[in-house]
Amino acid sequence: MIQVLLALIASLAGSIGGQTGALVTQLVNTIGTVTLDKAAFDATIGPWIAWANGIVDANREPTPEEHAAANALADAIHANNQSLGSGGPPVPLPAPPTS
Amino acid sequence: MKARITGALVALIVLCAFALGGCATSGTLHKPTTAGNAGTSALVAYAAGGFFAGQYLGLDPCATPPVYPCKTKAVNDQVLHADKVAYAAAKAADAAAGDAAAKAKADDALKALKKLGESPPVKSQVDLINAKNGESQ
Repeated sequence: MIQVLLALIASLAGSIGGQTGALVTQLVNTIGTVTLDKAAFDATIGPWIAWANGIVDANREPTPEEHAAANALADAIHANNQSLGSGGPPVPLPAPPTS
Repeated sequence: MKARITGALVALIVLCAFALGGCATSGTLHKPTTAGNAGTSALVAYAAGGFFAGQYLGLDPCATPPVYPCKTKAVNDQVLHADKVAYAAAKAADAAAGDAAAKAKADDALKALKKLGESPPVKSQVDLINAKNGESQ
């Protein structure tokens, strides 16, 4: 029954729209259930998403520092995945920007 | 007791389903409004997808007999490749400063990562974990 409800949530998420945000929501509800570790996602990536949304909602370009921060996050995630996928240790992620 | 806990969990999930916006707020990026913030959004979107790819990649390799959840080398390599493609596409979308084609390519790469998450080898792990969690409640 829980599986059915999770599928329902994923389906509802998919019906929101075709933009990247909805895609991320779908990822949360599909790949995320591999370890059912959404709490870790919320704690680790959630602040970054809120941060990016803040820039978008202000309808402005990111500052060079903000742009560098987003790149550092993507680089760290990629490095972490490549390391774990090769049997290596996890790579620490940068702390989310505070502003 | 078990029924009460299960009932509470189901109620929570149903609540989340009806208030999906609230439950998924932290996982939803807003639609970009400028070329620059589109690039930033592409990078963060990759990070979100890549985070979950990392969750699978971080599983222990399956032993003989396998102790679930675990990862197989074949799926590990597929996820690793999909992650690499999604990362490259996100970086390209950012470098292209809002170019629609690059953005579409980044979205497609993320979709491929998602599709992999729904493929039988990965989904079977999901089902096993769900079943295991159901038994423990």
